[in-house]
Amino acid sequence: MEQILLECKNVGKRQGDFELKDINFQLPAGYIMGVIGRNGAGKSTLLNILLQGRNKGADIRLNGVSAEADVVGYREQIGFVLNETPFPLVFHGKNCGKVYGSYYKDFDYDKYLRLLENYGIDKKKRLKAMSKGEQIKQQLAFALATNAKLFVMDEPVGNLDPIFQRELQDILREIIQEEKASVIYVSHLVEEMELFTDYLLWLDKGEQKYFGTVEGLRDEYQMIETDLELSKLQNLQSRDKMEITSCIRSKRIGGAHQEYLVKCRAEDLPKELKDSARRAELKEIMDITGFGLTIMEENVSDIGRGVR
Amino acid sequence: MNIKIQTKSGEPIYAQIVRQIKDLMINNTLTKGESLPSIRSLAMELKISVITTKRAYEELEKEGLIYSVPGKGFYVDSVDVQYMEEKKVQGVEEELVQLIEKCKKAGISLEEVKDMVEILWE
Repeated sequence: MEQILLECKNVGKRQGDFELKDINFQLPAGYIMGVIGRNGAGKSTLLNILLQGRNKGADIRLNGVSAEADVVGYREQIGFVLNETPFPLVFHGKNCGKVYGSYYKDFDYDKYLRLLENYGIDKKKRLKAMSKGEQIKQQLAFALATNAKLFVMDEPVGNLDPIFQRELQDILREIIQEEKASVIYVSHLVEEMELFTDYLLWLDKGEQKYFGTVEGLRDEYQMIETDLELSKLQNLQSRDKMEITSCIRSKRIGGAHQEYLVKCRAEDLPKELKDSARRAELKEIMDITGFGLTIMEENVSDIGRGVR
Repeated sequence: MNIKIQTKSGEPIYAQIVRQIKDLMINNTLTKGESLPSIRSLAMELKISVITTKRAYEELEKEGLIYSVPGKGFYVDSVDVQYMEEKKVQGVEEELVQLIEKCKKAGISLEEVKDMVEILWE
C-alpha cells in the first residue's frame, strides 16, 4: 500500500467576501500534485494555510505529524519556492543558508552552496541585486538542501528561462523518485500540468471542484465535434448518462458546426457520437466548465468577410 | 526499451505506451520473463507523470500480458503472439470498413483509392 504523506481535512478560511471551504484530500508519498484554478479561486489562501500549518478546525498531517500538535515538527518538513522570495532582500545567498538553514533539522549547507554554484549564482550576491529568476533558483537551492518531505512550488516558472523550466521538471521528478517526498505545484499553466502532475486539486470560487488523478479527470470528459444541433444532442442525452457542459457554435462556410464538451465516460457515450468524440484536454475542461450549460458563438464566416 | 511519446496526439499517452509495448512483444523485442523498467524510471525517462505510466502497466496487467512481483517489478508474461497479431489485423479491418464507408459517401471509386494507397504506401 502507498503511504499517505499529506492529509488535509476540513481546511477552510473566511477572508472578507471570500471563503475557502471544505478542502479535503490525501496525497500519497512520491507524487506531484498540481493545484489549479483561476485567479481568486483560493490557491494562495490554501498555500498559506499549508505553509503555516495553522487553520482552526482543520486537521492537517504531514508524514504523521499533526500541524496543530507540533507546528515546528510540521513546518521543518516543508521546503518551498515562492513567487516572491521570503528571504530578506539585504541578505546574500550565504546569509540565507547560515541563518535560515538552522530552522531545518539536517540542513545540508554544503549542498546548498554547491547548488548555488550549479545554478550560476554568486553566494555573495545580495538578493536585491538578483533577477527574479535568480531569486527563484536561490530558493530552490535552499529548499533542496533541506531534508523536506513536502516541496511546495508556487508559480515558479514565470521568471525562468525555458531551459531551466525543463530542468526544474526533472529536478522535481528526481525528488519524488524514492517515494519518500511529494511536490505541490501551483501554476496557471494548465498545459504544463497535464503532462507533469499525477494528482490535481482543482479550486473554483473557494470550493474544491475535483481532487484525484489527472487521468481520472480526463476520463470524465469528452469533446464532440458534430453537425448535430444542440436540441438533437439533448434528445440523445435523455437516453444516456451524458451531461452537456458547453457548446461552441461555429458558422463556417458550408454549414453550421458544433463542438460540445460533455461530462461522460467514453464507454458511456451514445452510439451515434462515438466516432466524433475525443478525450478532452485539461485546458478545455477547465476553460469552460462553469456552472450550467455555456453556449458560445464563434462566427468564423465573419472573419472571412473582413479579410475580403 | 524504445518508446516514443507524442504529446500532441489525440491518443492518450497511457494508450500509446500500451500499444508500443504490445508491438515490442509481437516483434519479439520483449520476450517471456523479461523484466520491464520500473514505473518510476519509465516515467522519468519519458518525462511524463508516474500516474500515466502506472495506468499503462495496469492496462497491460489486466490483459494478462505482464505481471508484477511485489517488491521486484513487472515482467513480461507468456505472449500469445498469434492472438495479438489477429487482434491487430482485426483493428485494421475495422478501420478499413469505416474508411471505405467514407470513400463511398465522398464518391471516390475503388480504383482511385487503390491509386492513393499505392502512392501513400511509400
